[in-house]
Amino acid sequence: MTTAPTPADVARLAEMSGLHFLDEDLPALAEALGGHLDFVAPLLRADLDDANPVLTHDPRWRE
Amino acid sequence: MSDLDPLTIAEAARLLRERRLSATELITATLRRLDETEPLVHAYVHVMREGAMAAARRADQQAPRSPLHGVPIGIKDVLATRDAPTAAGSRLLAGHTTAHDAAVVRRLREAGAIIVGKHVTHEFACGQDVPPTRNPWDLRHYPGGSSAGGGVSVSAGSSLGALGTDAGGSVRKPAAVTATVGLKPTHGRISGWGTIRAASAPSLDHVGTFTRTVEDAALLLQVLAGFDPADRRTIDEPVPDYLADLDRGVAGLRLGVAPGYFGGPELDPEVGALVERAFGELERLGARLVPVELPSFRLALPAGFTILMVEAAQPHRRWLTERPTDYVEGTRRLLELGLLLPAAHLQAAHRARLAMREEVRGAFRDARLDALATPTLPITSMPLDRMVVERDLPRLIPYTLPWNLTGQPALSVPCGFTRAGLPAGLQVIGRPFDEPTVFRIGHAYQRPTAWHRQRPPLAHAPAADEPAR
Repeated sequence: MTTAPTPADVARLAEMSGLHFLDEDLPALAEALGGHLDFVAPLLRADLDDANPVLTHDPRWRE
Repeated sequence: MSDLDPLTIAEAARLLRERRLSATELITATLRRLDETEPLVHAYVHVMREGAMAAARRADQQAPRSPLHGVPIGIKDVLATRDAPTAAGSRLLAGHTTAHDAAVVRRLREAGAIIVGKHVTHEFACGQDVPPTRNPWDLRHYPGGSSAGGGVSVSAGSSLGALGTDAGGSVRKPAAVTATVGLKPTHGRISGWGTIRAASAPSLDHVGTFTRTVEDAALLLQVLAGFDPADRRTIDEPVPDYLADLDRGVAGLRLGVAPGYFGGPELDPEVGALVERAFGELERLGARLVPVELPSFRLALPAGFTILMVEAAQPHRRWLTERPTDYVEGTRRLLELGLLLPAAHLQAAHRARLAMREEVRGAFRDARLDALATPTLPITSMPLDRMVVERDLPRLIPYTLPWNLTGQPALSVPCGFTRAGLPAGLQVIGRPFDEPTVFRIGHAYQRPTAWHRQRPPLAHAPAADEPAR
């Protein structure tokens, strides 16, 4: 990726998600998030246009 | 070591049925073995000594209800038991009790099995256990995870069978590195009702089994399989007789091998050679090896990890805010990361999952496969002092996680030992709900081989300064 996330990025992302993490976790989380972004890069680049999963929704009432 | 230690479930069932062994004798011997091995391996977090002895005495008064009648089984500490705490390896749930048994525990008890205790798990099945559970084949080594207590216990002889959960390989990994048989059945084959939700990723998670033999895995699944209206993930498919085809051998069966994915640079050459030899043995027994390509499986790790982290993290939102310091640091960060991942990643992961499922379905159809065969793990057991779960997990599960994504049944069978005496596993993967064929292949392999009959050397603990092999 071009820009690694910073601890401030993680704090902001957490805030937007309604979360608050310990300050001491932010540097390690920024590093882990950067690692994860690299890890999933092939997934995000993959041509998966023909794969359209529908998460099962069963409208029947089971009573 | 007690005389009863090398028994399998099938052998114990025969002795119990013929009244040559009582349940009380078997449980007494099991608890004695447990007392001998626990100081070395730490497989149990809670031993149900009095309850097990009382159940054994009752079992001796009754006619056998199933082949599990009177048989000692251990339960992973994420599955609810009404008579013992279920803490999921976490301080947040210390002393947590339930008024009910998990569906699988209830089925075991109804079949007459005797629950001897709760097995150690990683914190919420995703961290690392402290103090660590140790591999009986080398006490300085990691015994897999997160259901490691089950594999260690069956290997060490402090239970004849165990239940674990497997969301990425947590039954098959410990099975492979402890020389036991690990089964992850088809998703929906066994009810997961009563699994601690905070220790589960529901679309990937399966209740699975540890045994010494494939025959024992079939005996356990016979009791555990079936639809459960309380668990919407279970599927109302008929439950076949899992022993019926066990002895049919593999002559004429077509086994897919995908060297492009399941033999990459991560594969340890020694483990690779053991698995190649197992492939050769299956060929000698009449199976035909068929090369297949599964290119989309290169996405299995990023897709699987994304789904795993997102699903595992959701129940922890409140605790992470209110009680963050009650988590082990590594677990907390893993769960926090899971709560931060964008929806776009999750959607891409689900798309990859579907693509993989369609690809493997096509491979089975086009190559007329009966099963796939792979190594269970690319390496063998790692030394504990070099193990960092968050860092090393991706190295350990590239061959197991794909089948949690596709939901197919997968079985790990011991297939030999490295020069250092550490076990390796052969994995057999079947069509959905085709556990009978998976068992048939695993059993055919076990009959002429003796890997599963070898017992770990637990005579002494190594000195603290003795270097790891």
